[in-house]
Amino acid sequence: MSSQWELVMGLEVHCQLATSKKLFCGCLNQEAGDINEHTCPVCLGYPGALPKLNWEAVRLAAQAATALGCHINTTSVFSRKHYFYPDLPKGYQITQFDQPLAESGSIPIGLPKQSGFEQSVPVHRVHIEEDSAKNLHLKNGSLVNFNRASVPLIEIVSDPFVGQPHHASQYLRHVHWILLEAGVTAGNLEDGHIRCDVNISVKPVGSPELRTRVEVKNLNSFRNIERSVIYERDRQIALYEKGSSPVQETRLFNVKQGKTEVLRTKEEAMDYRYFPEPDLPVLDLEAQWIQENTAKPSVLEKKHYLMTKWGADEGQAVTVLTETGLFNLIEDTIALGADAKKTLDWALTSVLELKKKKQLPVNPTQLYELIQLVADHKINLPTAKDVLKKIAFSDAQPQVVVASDGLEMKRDDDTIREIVSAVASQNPDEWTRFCAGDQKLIGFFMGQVMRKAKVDPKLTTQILNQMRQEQP
Amino acid sequence: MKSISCWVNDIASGKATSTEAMQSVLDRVARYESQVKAFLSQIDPTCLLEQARTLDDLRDKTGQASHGLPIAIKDNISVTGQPLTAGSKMLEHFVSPYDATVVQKLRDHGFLFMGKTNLDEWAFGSSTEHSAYHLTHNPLDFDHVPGGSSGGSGAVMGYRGAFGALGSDTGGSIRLPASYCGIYALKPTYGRVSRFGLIAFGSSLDQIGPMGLSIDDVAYLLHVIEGNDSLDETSRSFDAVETVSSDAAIKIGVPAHMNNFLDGCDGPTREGYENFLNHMSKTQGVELVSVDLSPLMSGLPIYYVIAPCEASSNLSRFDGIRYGERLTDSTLTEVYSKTRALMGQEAKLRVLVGTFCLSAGHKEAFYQKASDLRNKLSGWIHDQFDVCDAIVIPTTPTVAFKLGERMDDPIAMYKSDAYTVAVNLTGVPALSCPHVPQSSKLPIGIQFIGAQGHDYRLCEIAKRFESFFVSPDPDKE
Repeated sequence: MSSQWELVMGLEVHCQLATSKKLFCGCLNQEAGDINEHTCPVCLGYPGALPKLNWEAVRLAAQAATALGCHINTTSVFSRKHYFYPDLPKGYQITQFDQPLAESGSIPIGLPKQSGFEQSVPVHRVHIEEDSAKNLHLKNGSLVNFNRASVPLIEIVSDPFVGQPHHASQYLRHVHWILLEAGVTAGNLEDGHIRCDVNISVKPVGSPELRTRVEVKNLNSFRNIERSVIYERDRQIALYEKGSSPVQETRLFNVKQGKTEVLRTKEEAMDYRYFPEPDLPVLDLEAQWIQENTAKPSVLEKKHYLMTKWGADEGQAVTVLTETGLFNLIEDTIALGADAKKTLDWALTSVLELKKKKQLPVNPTQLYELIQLVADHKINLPTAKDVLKKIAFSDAQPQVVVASDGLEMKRDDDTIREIVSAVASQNPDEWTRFCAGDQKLIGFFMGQVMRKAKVDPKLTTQILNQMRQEQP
Repeated sequence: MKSISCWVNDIASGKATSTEAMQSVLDRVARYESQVKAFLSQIDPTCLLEQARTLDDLRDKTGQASHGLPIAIKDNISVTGQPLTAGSKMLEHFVSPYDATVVQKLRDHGFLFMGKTNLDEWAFGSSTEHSAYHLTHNPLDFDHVPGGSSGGSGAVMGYRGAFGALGSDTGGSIRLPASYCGIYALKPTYGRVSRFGLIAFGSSLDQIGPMGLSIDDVAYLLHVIEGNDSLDETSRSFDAVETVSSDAAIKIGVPAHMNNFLDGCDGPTREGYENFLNHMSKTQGVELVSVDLSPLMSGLPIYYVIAPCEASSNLSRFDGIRYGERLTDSTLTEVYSKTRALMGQEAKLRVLVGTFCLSAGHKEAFYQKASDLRNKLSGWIHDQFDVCDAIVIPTTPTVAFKLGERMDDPIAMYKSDAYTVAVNLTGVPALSCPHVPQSSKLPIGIQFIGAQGHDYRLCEIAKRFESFFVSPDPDKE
């Protein structure tokens, strides 16, 4: 490379937020599963369907933006961005345009001094938008899988900065790391949770001008981002040195050949016809909401909290903090009103046993309901554990499962008395001995009664003792 | 005709049956529908009678059953399992997989659905002549239009073929047919009624509203369908019904520059409106206040920028990929072009206008400017309700025009909305009540415009003058 040129880069990073539901409907945010399993009239853009904002996504987006050093705007606006493509069900993407969620962040990555930034890349803005569906191109046609349609994304846009090709990958590594630490994304690049576009231009060293830029889209590995920047930089310098110049266009990186290729030229550039989304009100975030939802305690603070407020021991606290999502699950379940100690027990035993990779089997509402069902003596602990297995990785409500499977414990005296009488008459010898005072047999009768029906153990013990005393 | 609440009570107390109620409207349908053609799709009458009989049997046995009064629904509102065409060839065979929130609410209140009514394609129009399927005729004179875009709902109510109907109003689409067909209709405050399940035309303007044969019926239906809906972020609940006692002093705003304001009105409209001004001035407790209403007339140009912009965006989803008709071809672009060419002329015109007004280089001059003017208009209209309780103007400049008369002149067609669009741009409620002037066979509409959220108050105010209003029955013509 000729030393009289310097490289200018600007990066746009898309990151899928790890919410339980999609951005504008109740469908699960899970790309896996059968094709088009997680779809409904809203995310398929059916006639008459309207978007409903998922506040969990807003919270995660605000947390991410805060972690990226941005300022959260108390007012931001959703807009429609229009283009026709089969992966875009409504013919427009709901995104944020002139009033984004957050602005003015910075990411320290240690640039060389001459870049003008000692150690950080400025983040221009962070905004919320919905993901598109996924096209599957087959030999004799194309199909569309809408499981990804309307999954919540944030787009992180950097200001243009002068640097070396490896700074692009360094920037992406840092963003990736910060977002993972903030707990807002599953963060697998190979699964497309994080995707990157780079704007590249070159200019004479020290010149204040910005020359024609080329956008390279859809990079999803640290290595390829750097390779594509090197290729594109050299291509542009070669053009200038031949007396020609690059044209403004969008290119794709061909991983096999290590080259960028034209996707569309400026003339083919789309006019997105942005205007404010009339189906969604202006996103007003109160200062207090921002404060409460973005204040993220450090790991040490969290550990202290776990041990003092929730009664965890050292080992339990460390487990909670190293398992992805577990702290949030516990925190949110307790916030719903569940007992702290019980929540911790559940989280550290049954919940962890069912965990798959980085995915927890239940959401806070489900766990809370389950704990309450036991606390209210509606079901006993073993039943509760069975229910957990049944509802794992679904959005089924424990109460509904308990009702539909008839798992609720019998709590009325008369029913239990009837069962005890039946058991007594089937085991007359044992019953006589029990009535005569053989206290050990209470366990036997408890077992027999519980085999016949789901009963409340405390109540059954009481009734057994009462009935023994009632014997002449 | 007996009011909805009367029927509901009589059926509950055994004085009337669901079958009897059903039969009474089906008789009208049998008499008029073949000529008026208000419906795009109908539930088979034997099936409707069967449903009514089942309810009667259930009521006999258990003492409890819903009333089963039938309602007609404009065919841009989703009813599970029924066709949903929006009057467009693009949705010719589409069947809705879910209920609109308003439909769910009507179901919960015991109403039955008798069919889907004709409309201008995507609700773009003022006469229902832009329906891709067939013309609907004015039940009072078959040579005339029923108004639009909710022309089918207006016409079916005009011939008393249902107990009530739902329409949607983006720039006057409920009030216009009400005026032309001689019935009552309310465009509720924006957000009062959920739009979930209504095929969007201009999302910031659209509102579903009731059409009926009396102010009471319209208010009854509004009460059933209104309310905050978790599926529509722009919906909200309003405070408990604010009413005025029937003798409280009220102020009615009327145009200060009467001749200017009524410029473009035909004879019957002038006559009928002036009659009503006279009637109001003689009504006790009513004071007429002169208000400069010229800003109201600036609504039309603002509306015909904003509405096509939103429409062009809302119609993008009809691409033939996931549902609806699809014409195949070798490339994706050709599939899109051919499929979307199924839209009619008016739809294409509005999509092109909207796309242009939002495009780079023109957005500032059109969309942005119109939005700014819209905000000013909203500010202005809210101020008017400091000096009066309601504004009263004609619903439309003319009585129902002849079929075909304005089809080649879009501007003349758009001018039918001159008195209605400002209401949608500012989100306030408006009620249209019928009156037949002496010089005319066809009715005119008297429009009451109220402050935001004062929908029931508007009904109460209009009821003061109920003796003046007459809904003409084609049976008695």
